[in-house]
Parts: sequence; C-alpha cells; structure tokens
Amino acid sequence: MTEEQRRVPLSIPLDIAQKNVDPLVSPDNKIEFRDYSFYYRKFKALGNISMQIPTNQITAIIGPSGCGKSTLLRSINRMNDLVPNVHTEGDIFLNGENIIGQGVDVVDVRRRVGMVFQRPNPFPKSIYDNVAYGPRLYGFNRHDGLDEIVYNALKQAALWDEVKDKLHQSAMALSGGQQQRLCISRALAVEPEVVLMDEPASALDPVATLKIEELMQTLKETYTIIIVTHNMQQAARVSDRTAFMMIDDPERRTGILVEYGSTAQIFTNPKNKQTEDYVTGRFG
Amino acid sequence: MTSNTHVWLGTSTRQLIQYRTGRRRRKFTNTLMIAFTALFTLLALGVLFWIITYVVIKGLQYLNLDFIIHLPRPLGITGGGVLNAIEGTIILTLLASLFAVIPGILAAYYAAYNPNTPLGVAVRFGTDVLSGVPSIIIGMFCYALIVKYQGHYSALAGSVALAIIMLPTIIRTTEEMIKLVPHTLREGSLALGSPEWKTAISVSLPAASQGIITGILLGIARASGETAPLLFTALGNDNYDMGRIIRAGIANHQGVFVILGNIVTQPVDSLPLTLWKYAQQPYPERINQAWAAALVLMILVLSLNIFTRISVQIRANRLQGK
Amino acid sequence: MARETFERQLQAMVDQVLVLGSMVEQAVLDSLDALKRRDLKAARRIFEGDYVINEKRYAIESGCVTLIATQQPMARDVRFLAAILEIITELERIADYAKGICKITQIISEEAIDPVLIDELQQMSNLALDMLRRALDAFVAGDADTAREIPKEDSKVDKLYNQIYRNLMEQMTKDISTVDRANHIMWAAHNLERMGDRVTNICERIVYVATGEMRELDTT
Repeated sequence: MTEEQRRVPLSIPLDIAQKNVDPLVSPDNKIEFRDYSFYYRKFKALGNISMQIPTNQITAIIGPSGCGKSTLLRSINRMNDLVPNVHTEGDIFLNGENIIGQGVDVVDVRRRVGMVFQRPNPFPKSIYDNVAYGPRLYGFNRHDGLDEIVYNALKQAALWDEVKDKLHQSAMALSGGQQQRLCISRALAVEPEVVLMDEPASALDPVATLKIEELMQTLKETYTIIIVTHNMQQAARVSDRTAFMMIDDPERRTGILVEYGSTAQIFTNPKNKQTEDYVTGRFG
Repeated sequence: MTSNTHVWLGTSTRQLIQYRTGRRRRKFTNTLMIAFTALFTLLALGVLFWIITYVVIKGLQYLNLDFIIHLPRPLGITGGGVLNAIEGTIILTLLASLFAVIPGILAAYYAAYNPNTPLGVAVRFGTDVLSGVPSIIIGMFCYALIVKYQGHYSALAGSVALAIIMLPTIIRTTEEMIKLVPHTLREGSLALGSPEWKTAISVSLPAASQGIITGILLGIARASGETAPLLFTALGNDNYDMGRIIRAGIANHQGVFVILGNIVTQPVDSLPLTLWKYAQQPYPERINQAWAAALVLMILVLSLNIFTRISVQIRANRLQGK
Repeated sequence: MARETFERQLQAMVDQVLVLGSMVEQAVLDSLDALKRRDLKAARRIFEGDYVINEKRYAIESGCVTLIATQQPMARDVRFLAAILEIITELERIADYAKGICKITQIISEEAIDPVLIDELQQMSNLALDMLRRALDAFVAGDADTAREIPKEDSKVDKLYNQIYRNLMEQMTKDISTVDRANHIMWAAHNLERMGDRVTNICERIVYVATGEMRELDTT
C-alpha cells in the first residue's frame, strides 16, 4: 500500500479506504496487522487496523490518550489474553505466521516477542536471577552457559559495566534508569525477534531517557522494535516509521489508524489534517 | 466557629485575634487527641505486659530443667515435667501447619486471581463462615470423622482439627497479600513466556512471602493455644515421649513409616490441654505446674513470633539492597 | 553515549554542505576557465549542470528541516541548522553567478576581449574562491575569529571591480561600438564582486553559530 493509499480521511468508511491492502506478506515485514479489531465485550477498542511493520527498524505508535495504542501493542504478544471477556477479529502475522487463533502456542509467541513496560518491574531477586529468569524457564542452567547469556544480555542493554560487580545484589537497589535497562536485558536474554516497548521512558528522568533512546538505536540492528509513546518528540527522535492513531468519534471511541509513514514525512509533511493537528500540538 | 482559613495579610485586629485563638484551640485539641491515643495504647500494651509479667512471676519459680525433659510423675514425687505436652504441642502444630498451609495457599491464590468465579466466591464466603465456627464444634466434627473411624484418639485427629482452625486465617491473609503484589510483576513474568503456574511459584508467591508467613504465623499462634477441639481428638497422654517411641521402633527394626505412624496415631497431650487439666485439680503442686506450663507455652509462642519476624525482616532488607 | 545518533546526523549535514561548497567552487572555476578559453561547449555544460547544484541544495534543506522537526535541537545545534539553511542559499547564489558568467561567455562568443580584463576577472575569481574556501574551513571548525577576518579580503575584490569598471567606462566613452560587449564584461565582473559579498554573508552566519549574535561584518 503506497503512502497515497494510506491516507484515511475520517469521513470515508474504512472498508472503502483499505480496499487496496496488498495481500502478500513481504519478508521485510516482521509483523503485519490485517483488518485487526479488538473488543472488550461489546466495546470495540480497536477498529480494523491494517499495517505492516518492517524488520530491524523502530516503529513508533503515537496518538492521544485512550486511543488504543497500548491495546494494539499488547495484542502482538497476546498479553490482552489476560483480560477477561475479550475477543478479536482479523489477523496478526509474525514472520508470516498467524499468531491469532486456536492452536497458537502463546508461550512461544511471548518468547519471540518481548515486552518492556512503562514502569520498570524487576523481580525482587538478584540482578543475575532477574536476567536469568527467562533462560531458566527454558531449561538453561549454569552448565549450559547461563553466565554467558546473562553477560550478553546485560552488555546489549549497556548495563554490564555498571553492575558487573554486584550481580548477586538485589535488583531493587538499582536506580530507575538502571532498573529499566535491567528489564530490557531481561527481555533480551531469551533472544526475541521483536521487542515491544510500552512508554519505556515515561517514568524516568531525562538523562536515563536519553540513554534508553540511544540504546534503542543500537538494538534495532538486531531486533525489530515497536514503541508506544505519548511523547511525540521522543517518537520523532527515535523512530524510523510512525503510526498515528486516534479515536474515530467521541461516542463509539474506537481506535483507528489514521496515518502511517516514515517518521520524517509524518513530522514534516503529514498527509492527513488530524495528523498535522496532533503533531503541531494544536490538538490532543 | 472561627474561620481559620482567612489569609492573615491585611486583616483587621478582630480577625487577627480570631485567628490566633483558633490556632490555640487547634493546638489544644491536637494535644488532647494525642494524649487519648497514647493512653489507650498504653492500656492495651499494659495489659500485654501485665499478662507476661504475671505469668513469669507465677511460673518462673516452678520452671526448671526437669520440667521440660521429664514426663509427669505422680503427686508427691519431685522431678515431674510436661515433656509429653511440649512434644505434643510441637507435633500437633507441625502436622496442622502441614495440612493447612499448602491447601490454604493454593485456595487463596485461586480466590485472588479468580474472584468472580463460583469457586472463588465460594472460597471467600466459606472462609469467612469457617472462621466464625466455634472451635469446639470443629473438634466434634473431627471426632465424628476421624476418631470414631479410627477407634482411638490420635495426634492425627487433633492436627486435622487445628488445621481447620488455622485455615481461614491463612487463606484470608494470603489472599490479601497476593492481591497486594503489583500486577506488573506478574505481567513481567508472563511476558517472558512463563506459564501461569511457574509465575505463581517464582514470582507472585515469593513476592507475597512476607505477608504469607505472617498469616501462617498468626494461624499457628491461634492453633497452638486451642484447647477445646483437642478434648475430642487428641485427648491427652501422660506417657507420650517421642524419643522413646523412636528408640523402641529402632530396637524393633520397624520401618520409618511405621515409627512415624506410631508417633501420630497415639493420643497426645498439649500444653494448653495440660494447663487446663492441672488448673482444675485441687493440688497446689499441680497448680504451680500449670503456671509453669503457661510460661513455657508463652515462651514458645513468643520466640516463634520474634524469630520469624526477625528473619523476614532480614530477608526484606536484603531484597531492598540494604 | 549522549545523542550519538544526532551527532552523526549533524556531521552528515556538515559533510553535505562541504560537498555543495566544492560543487560550487568547481562551477566558478570552470566558468572562468570557459570564459578565458572561449569554450562555448563547456559554458553550456556548466550552465545546464547548475540544476544538480540546486537539487543538492534542496536535499540539504530538506534534511535540515527533518532534523529540526525530529530532533528538537537547542542552543548551538539549532543555530547551526538555521545557519546551514542560509549558507546553502548563499552557495547556491554563488553557483548562479557562475551560471551567469557562462551565459555571458555564450553571448560574447568569438569577440575579442582585452587580456588584461580577463586577467583581472581571473584575479577577482581567485580572491573570491580563496575567501570561500577559508570560510568553509572556518565553518567546519566553528572558528568565529577567522570568520570575522575573511570579509576584509572583500575590499580587494571591490578594488579590482572598481578598476575594471573604470577601464570599461574609459573604453566605452572612446569607442561607442564596444558598449554592448563592455556591458557584458561589466556584468561578469559584477557577478564576481557579488560572490565576495555572499561569502561575507556566510561568515556572518559562522559567527552567529559560534556566538549567537547576528551582526554585519565590516569589509574594510
């Protein structure tokens, strides 16, 4: 779907606007949403989302509060299954395989799609045990090179130098920024393909935020990163592609994808007026 | 009532006076309330210290080594003790914990995460009801169920009764503690690909462990002081001596399970039970021994409390990185 | 680790500006050369090749705008990017002057010109290009002191221009038939004189980046 075709003025019904979805899944698309909708009981939280997320790039999802960004993100690793009374329509493809539906090994999906949360949530264990938690789930122990795995994960998250002398101290003694990097290395330890980040720096001070943003630039060479952020400037700084979501109307409050394109284009020359209003700060 | 919210700037003298008196009245009320609170705290604490002091005074003089390591001896002969009761209390409490803790924690976990299912509602409702059942009725229930079936009194029956008494406390406290664990912790584990049960064992329960242990402790404290249910189930046993049973078992080449069976299928005594029995007798010797038994019981419970609190605090400090 | 990515992007901008600068330099050199040798083909080639310089300038401008929009530059960084936007404009105008000289070459074609004049034009061009090179170096280094000194060279360019002007006026008053040709040469000289002014503007921007003050620099 070209950028032209992605333009979705809200006055046009979505089914007409998206008739041009390319049915082929290209190998460069790590994740593809195809007409994906999400319901809490009768309430339609996400409406017919279709988009392709390329590999080894950082894709940001921005939009005003309550438009379903986090819900969309959590759909990718099936974390929404934890909420009672939800059902979905449409498909999500990870590397071409459908991860929605019966017969999908959710535990495996969650290994391949890691997640970093808004507030750092290290386990009340030692730093080593935190990072080793994932690999241990899959049967790794010290004989199988667990030390090596922990080292690599901490190194990738740029935390090794700061904690190498205190691996067996409690993770709760670290600063907020360090804890968040610990959570990142915990997610990386199981070698996921995709890393989801739900407002990863919103609870951190500016210096820690900057470190995380620089970290993402290094990580994108190995992983595909999707970040949800309410901080537009952060999305602009960090991402290669940006998706803008909004509520379709105040009554139905369904979240829809309004515009999706390269970050440079979204922030210098958005095609859609709603996008322009949001990006220039005139609304939302 | 003076309006103490007036800004002080540029007010008239009259308002100034009103403000000042209001402040004085507020200070007075404040001091009065603090005094009341302190008074009632002292009252409550005072009762505790009074009990402890009284028991110590009354019982310490009769507490000696013999008392702890010997079985009861007939009146008039010195050197008798309450070894049977001490061992009985320990066995009963241990077994009761065994029976109550695991089902209790599992039930609490289920109720915490599935509060709106029929089973979850049943657990919570049932727990509340059970905690209100008089302990003697629980004893009768166990009598009908176990003692009649087995044909004799036993530590087993007594433990079951105590376990049922401990259960509501454990379930309620555990459930509250599990609910206090931040859901982000659980999410973090699940997002790594951990199945629900592994998350429970590795993350949720350890995070709630401090509170769970407190709950178990409360349960034990309550159970070890119960007398009524034991009347119908454990009965009492002046000859109960684990050491002797074990030695006899070894001498007779009995298997481990047989020896264990011997330990738990006999009637046992417990400290509260012994206390009750002795206190009712007209002999001053027995009454003195009752006081000593009370002291022993109190020391046991207090030290268990203090020890567990300290070790939990140490563990918590370590986790906080201090 | 602080803003490494952004640092790299800024450095890339600097490199692009230098590329544009060397493209412009080459255009000026070639245009003067074509005038000297009366090479009509070369002149035409340079004339038509100007669009590449324009495209380059638009690309850099677009990159700057994207950087400003996405990286929220502050203080020196935002002055730097704002200065680049102006500098590339000045560079593009210098290239337009070279284009103008090529046009004049085409118009004059075979007619005879006093070699002294050509030589003086060459001198003006050399001076202006030297100023440009030094300005670009000062830009890369962020050297405000050098940037303040460079405009003073412009007086030499102006002197040469006045010389050419007087010569041509003399010629024109002596022989009316040479007016047309003289006018074109005057225009070429004017272009070269304007190049010096443009470089002065670039130096003003360099000072702005370093100090934050916007001021006209003296050319005396």
